[in-house]
Amino acid sequence: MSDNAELLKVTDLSLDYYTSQGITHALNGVDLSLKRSQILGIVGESGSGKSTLAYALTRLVPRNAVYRSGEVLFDGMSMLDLSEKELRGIRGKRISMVFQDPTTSLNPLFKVKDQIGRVLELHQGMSRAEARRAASGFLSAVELPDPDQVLDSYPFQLSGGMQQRAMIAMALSTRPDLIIADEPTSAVDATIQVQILELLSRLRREHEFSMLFITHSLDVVSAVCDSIMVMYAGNVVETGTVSEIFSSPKHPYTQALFSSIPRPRKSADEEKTLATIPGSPPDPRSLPSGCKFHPRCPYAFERCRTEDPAFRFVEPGHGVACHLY
Amino acid sequence: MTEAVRTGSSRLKVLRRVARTIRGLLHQKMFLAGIIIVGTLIIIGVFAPWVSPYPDQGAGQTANTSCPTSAAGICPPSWQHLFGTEQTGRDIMSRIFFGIRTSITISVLVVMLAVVIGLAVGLTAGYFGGLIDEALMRVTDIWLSFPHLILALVIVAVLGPGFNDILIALGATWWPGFARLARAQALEIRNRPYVIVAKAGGVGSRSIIGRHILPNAISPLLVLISVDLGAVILAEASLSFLGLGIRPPTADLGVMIAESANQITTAWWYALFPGLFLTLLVIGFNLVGDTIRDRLDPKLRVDLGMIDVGKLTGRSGRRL
Repeated sequence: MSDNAELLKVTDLSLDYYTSQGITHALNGVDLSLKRSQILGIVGESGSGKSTLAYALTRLVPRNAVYRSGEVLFDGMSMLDLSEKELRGIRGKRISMVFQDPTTSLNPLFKVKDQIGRVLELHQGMSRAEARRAASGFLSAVELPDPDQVLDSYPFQLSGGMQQRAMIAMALSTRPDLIIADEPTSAVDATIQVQILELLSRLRREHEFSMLFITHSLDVVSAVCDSIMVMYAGNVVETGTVSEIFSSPKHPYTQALFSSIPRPRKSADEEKTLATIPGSPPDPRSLPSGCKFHPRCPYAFERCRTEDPAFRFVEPGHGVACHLY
Repeated sequence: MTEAVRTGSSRLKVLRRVARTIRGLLHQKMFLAGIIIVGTLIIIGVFAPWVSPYPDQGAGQTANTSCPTSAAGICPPSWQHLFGTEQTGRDIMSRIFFGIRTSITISVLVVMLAVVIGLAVGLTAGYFGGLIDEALMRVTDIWLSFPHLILALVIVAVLGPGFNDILIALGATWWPGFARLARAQALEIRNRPYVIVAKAGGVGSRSIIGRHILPNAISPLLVLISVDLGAVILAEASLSFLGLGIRPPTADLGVMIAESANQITTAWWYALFPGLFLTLLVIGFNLVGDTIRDRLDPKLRVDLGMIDVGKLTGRSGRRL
């Protein structure tokens, strides 16, 4: 397999949640492609379907979720057709996940060595002693000082930043091809956030894994990602490389996201208001017709209300779903 | 690197935490009283053959020397027989000690049986949910809809009275409570991040239930276990009182109370002492169970003033 081969390809993935209040359309025809050793940032508001997408890829969705259409190809395997047993062999071994809140992601009753070691025993068939040695190595790789002390600690004895590093070490320990990180820095404070982002960038260079990096922060995306995918109401509205999207965002929603980043005022008389996007994300149980963003879009015209815009590439590698282009 | 590893052995820290919890519990008079009662009675029960004044009579041997004042063998408390003797001339104190042994043995075994069945049913139902949950919990509801004793009576009536049969009868009727509690715990814990992490790590269901759900579900179960130990003792005594439990000559508090009922007007001591010890046993277990429950329920803890707020904020301050 060549280096720039596609590791993950998602085509027209749609997923619904069946709830007592009706059917929630969480994902609507999501396309995604990720090459080896690439980091793709998935950006969107809360409820835009970005976390659902992360779980949907490895079929970790709740019981009430139904795949409406689509295909997920991971290294040529159709994830939606694999048996539960085959999936277990992929989860944790070839696709690892890092989650949002490190303080609750470790079982409080077991020492760190039992949790990282267990992954290694399960997937690499290591003995207890081997697993401990390997786990210690990965803890050093995530820049935890004194890994042996950490291994013998219970989660409550570690700080949030240390716990997140331990989680990353655990995700790394089976040398996966793909790491899915679901807002890994939103629960730690700003200085730890920077450290963890730097760590992830460095690890990616050394260990050559691909990564889906889910976040609601554009700053974070620019720090670690190669390309960006912007989601709105379960749809992909824009994709492109970081430099293209940051220099010329095309979709009105992407532009609005950029203008919502708080900036220091230039002078004391400047108004003390933060730019916001008017309105709120649509109710996924009854999505608007046409373009899902039209009720909040300043450029909306008649066609936006009736016709769902097709996704087209304005430049090679920079695609947008909007009638303006 | 701004983070620093906290110093000191972690094993020691955990031991200290356990010690602090136990110390906290011992500061409560109710818990202390309960532990003393239960502890004493358990020691008496375990060492019944050695602490009883007439071990053979406790084990069922009929005394051949009858009391001079009564032809029936019943005599009031004296220095030879502190709690008096019953109709076959056996020493009531020895019988009570052996009876406590019977009660505690049955109670522990029944609760163990109930916990095993209840956890298996409840954790499976709660973790998998859906149809499995519906099926298992409807069965549990059916069992629960019969009062313990009625169902146990039916089972004993079919199997016939005896030690093993009363175990099966009570064990089979006691598990639904554990099943429901275990299910509620599993429902809550299965959505905790570390369970999702385990799933995302490719861990199988059995391993997740065993390593993640069960250990984290255990503390409310401990409360139910300690309260139920008392309740099972009472249920067993009731069955034996009705003649459907332990058969003579095995000493049993329920059987003794039943036998004493005929002589209640002439031999007060025969009814009083077994009744007193049965009451003590049940109260002891309930005191322990109730205080553990209060201790483990954070809302109640604040109400009871057991939480030192300064200490609490100090602890949460360690986190980052």
